[in-house]
Amino acid sequence: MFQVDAREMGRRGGLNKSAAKRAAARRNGARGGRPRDANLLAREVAEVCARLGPQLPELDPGDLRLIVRCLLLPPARRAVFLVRRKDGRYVF
Amino acid sequence: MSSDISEKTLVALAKALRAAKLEAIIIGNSASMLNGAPVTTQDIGLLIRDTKTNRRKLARFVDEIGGSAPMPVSELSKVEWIEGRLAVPVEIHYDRIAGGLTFSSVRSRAQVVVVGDQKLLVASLADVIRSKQAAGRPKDHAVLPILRDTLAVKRKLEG
Repeated sequence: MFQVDAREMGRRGGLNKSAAKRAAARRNGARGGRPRDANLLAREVAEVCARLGPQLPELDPGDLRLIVRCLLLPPARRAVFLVRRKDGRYVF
Repeated sequence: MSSDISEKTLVALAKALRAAKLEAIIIGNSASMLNGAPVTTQDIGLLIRDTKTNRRKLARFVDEIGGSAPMPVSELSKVEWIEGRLAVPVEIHYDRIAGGLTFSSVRSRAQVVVVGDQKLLVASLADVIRSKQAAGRPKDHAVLPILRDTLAVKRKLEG
């Protein structure tokens, strides 16, 4: 029976350079790749809110979450213009 | 992503300002948004110096965005607005805004914000709050609480 310890298995896995692994690592949220951007943002928002919440007790927690989320986004993604279409409806 | 129109609008605005070599500071709720406040708006406010040179540059800026000639917002107001190819109209304020804020004082506290491959000069959130407090219109009062909250959070994060 062929035996390999866990450390060795991890090392071999880390050295694997298959095309599938490279592609997965680049895909946002793919199995074996990076966590989804949305999950990272959600986690960071939660962490910052947990830290700041006690320092700003007068702030509504929902507002705090909205503000922190906006502040953590890059500026271009913070901006939301309301645009009125010719048919009278609004789009973002 | 829903902010796609907004990002394209900001990039187009920055390109037009750069092409016209017009020094302008983004003010009002557009500045609030770029400072991280969770608000929306239907126009872009710009503060510029009122000089002959800037009037020429403004005409070039209007050409760049395929805009109408600047129209006064009202007979009593020096503020003008331009309807153009940008998704939202542009409102031009000359020399000062409510709250006794001059172009120089707003610029001294303004920040450069990178949008795509462009840069925009954006009024500080404290200045936006000060001008809205002074303007005192119902729409200003409506948005002030969330702007103050955002400023408090920003200060905690930066401090």
